[in-house]
Amino acid sequence: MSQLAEQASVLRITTAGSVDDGKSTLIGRLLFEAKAILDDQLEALQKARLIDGGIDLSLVTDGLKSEREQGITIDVAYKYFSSPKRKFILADAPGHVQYTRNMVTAASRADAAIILVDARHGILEQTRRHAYLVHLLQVPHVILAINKIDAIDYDQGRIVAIEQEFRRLEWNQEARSLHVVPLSALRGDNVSTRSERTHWYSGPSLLEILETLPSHSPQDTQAELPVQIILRDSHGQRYAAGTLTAGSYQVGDAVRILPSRQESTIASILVQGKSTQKAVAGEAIAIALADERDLERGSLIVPVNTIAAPSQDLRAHLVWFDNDPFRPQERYIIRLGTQTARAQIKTIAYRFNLETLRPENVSELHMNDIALVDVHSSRSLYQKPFRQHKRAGAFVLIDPRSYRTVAAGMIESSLGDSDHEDLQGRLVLVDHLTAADQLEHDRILQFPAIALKTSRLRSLQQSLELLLESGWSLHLEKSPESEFLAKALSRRGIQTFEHGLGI
Amino acid sequence: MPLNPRDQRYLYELEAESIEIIREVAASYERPAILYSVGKDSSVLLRLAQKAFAPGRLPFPLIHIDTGYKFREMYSFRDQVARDIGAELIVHRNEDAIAKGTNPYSIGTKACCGLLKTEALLQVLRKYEVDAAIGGARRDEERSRAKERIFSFRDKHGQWDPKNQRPELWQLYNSRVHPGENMRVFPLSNWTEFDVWQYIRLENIPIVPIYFARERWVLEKGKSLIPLEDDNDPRRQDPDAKLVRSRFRSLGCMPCTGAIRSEAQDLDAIIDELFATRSSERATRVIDHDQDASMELKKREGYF
Repeated sequence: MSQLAEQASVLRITTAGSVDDGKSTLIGRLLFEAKAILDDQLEALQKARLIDGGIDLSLVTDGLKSEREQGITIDVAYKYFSSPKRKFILADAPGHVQYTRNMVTAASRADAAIILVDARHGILEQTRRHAYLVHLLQVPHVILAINKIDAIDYDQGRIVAIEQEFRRLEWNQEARSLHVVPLSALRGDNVSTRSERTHWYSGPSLLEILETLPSHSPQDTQAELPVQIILRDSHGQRYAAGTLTAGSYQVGDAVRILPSRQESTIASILVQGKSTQKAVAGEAIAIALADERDLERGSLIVPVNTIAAPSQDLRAHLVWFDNDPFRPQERYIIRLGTQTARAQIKTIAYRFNLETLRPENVSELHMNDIALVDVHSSRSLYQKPFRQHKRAGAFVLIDPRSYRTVAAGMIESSLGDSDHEDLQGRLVLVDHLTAADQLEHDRILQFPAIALKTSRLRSLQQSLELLLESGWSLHLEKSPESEFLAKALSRRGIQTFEHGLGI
Repeated sequence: MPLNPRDQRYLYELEAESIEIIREVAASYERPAILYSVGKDSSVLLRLAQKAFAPGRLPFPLIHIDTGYKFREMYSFRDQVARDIGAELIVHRNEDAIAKGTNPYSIGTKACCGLLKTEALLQVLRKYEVDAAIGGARRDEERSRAKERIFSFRDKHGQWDPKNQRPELWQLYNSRVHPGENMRVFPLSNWTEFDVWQYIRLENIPIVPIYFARERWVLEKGKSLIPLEDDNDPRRQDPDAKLVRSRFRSLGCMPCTGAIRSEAQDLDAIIDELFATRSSERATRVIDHDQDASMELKKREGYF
């Protein structure tokens, strides 16, 4: 029996709003009422600043020293609390436009987003931006928390007007699950218990909503196992290990391995290290196939009847994270599921202006920019639109020099077969170098076997990578050193081919 | 109100996330290692790592940073565990500093931790060219940890730069490091103390016996119970020394770890006690309080 039920009981939440909307106070209130703030922490808060003789709940989420000095939340902070019904993981991010990338990060794994507005000010430009981001990241549940209702004397008419305006926003038209709750974080109205001061509101408190939301959105039901790593037992039997990102598998299921397109059946399944008959989405599993097949990190195991079209060209929304603007010629490292390749940003269709909330033409991308772009990858990638299957449609771009994560991407569509040339040369391990190879193709470099220390191999590895990126194919004569290099390069998303004499 | 103690289904969700992280380390690095501290979080980490690679073996060694001030039971437990699971165990001490008589009494806890823990850790990571060190730290432990990434980048000097962390989205971890740099990886980031105990009970995971209450010699100073575990400790002659039924909630070095009054002699009792308790786990760890934001400062220097 599989242990992960359809409705698992961890809910990941993110909050969108700014300090002025009382966001820190709301989080503090939730944690306080869930008894997640302990005595010594309360004591520390009491030593700090007091509001109306009570502790300042907004200080609970206060994080790093450097941030406290600046009086602003910069980064994403994670908080944990539980109710008798479930465990909550709260990713708290700042709401200002200059921290868009942090909000995107926090929303990336959220099951639910709480968008906070100040009842006195209603829907602001910021609220619209938050609604857009929550939509972009496809957060399954949206909760509009209308805060500070004590400051407008619990005025029902005002609150209904805010709700209507929010529901009309274009980003909320597709929202599968939209909830609205009027509350006062300061006074505790409708946060964990229903308030007597809002007798006209018959809905649940914020915590009640959070307790009852389903934590997994309905997603693709077709099984998909992106292979993370190959394991071997003591008899040498190989297992493909990874997290089942969709659907379910049973022993005996016929499967196809991508990209090789070989077929086999599932001989055994391990979940939690134990043999089982069935595995479902969300579980970290290992499976053995009935036949010896080509399996490696980055392979996908799908049901045998799957029609999967890999593509080198993708249209995607990109959120730029880095201080440095994007470089049009750069071949960034792309990570999509467990697949790795190189990718270039070919065109910017438009940038979404986060202030006017309208598309505009640009030729550059800077930190916090969100744009629709076309990406060309060095090899074909298996993917799905992000809105259909998050884990198959999300990617990150990594700077190949600094190794910083420079962008996050969400695939809109694949652009089918492309007529671009392959950007990357081939890495081939050969038994013997032959003059014929050299003659047949230009742009091949041959490397005879040579004994080298690990440290020298590492620097050689970097040079080889640059050559491959520049389109040179490399033939390495087989030796422990060249195999080490091939292994190291495969970790960097570069595939190795093998051929011997006369093949 | 805390979670219903009988609902353990959610633990498998946390487990799956952790296993994915541990496998990602094995797939991405040349020389990964588990930083094994012998405590309860390390015990959970080991169990998760075993599950991650079953039916294969643990593909990396355990590293224990030994300050020489750990509890006797921790040493014997450590050796037993390594034998039982057939793992390679690397024990590292900053011998130079120990030879020079480094101790918390004469140089203070801050300097002592810096030499016997942080410096020792950096030494061993260099010595074995470790490019990824897996640790059992959790975000709920301390507030500088609340903002740390699961894959937490360290520069050539082992330092953490909280203002310049790599964004971490979805489950797409950026594992890349240049030679000389390394990654600290925290598969238990999203677990709480309560989750850890629930999982230990659910999975029947062995833990160091000093987590359980018994009569032990302590010196009561204000709110804290200073353990006098060594039979030859001269402080046992102190008029304030007495036998108190107590246990340890968080394990560090003997001089810097306080005991708590407790009757909890088994896992059920510990979990019940956690339900009722109103103070945080690391309240008994002197080193977290030696100056404001002290954990953050230690981490910047290379501490876990």
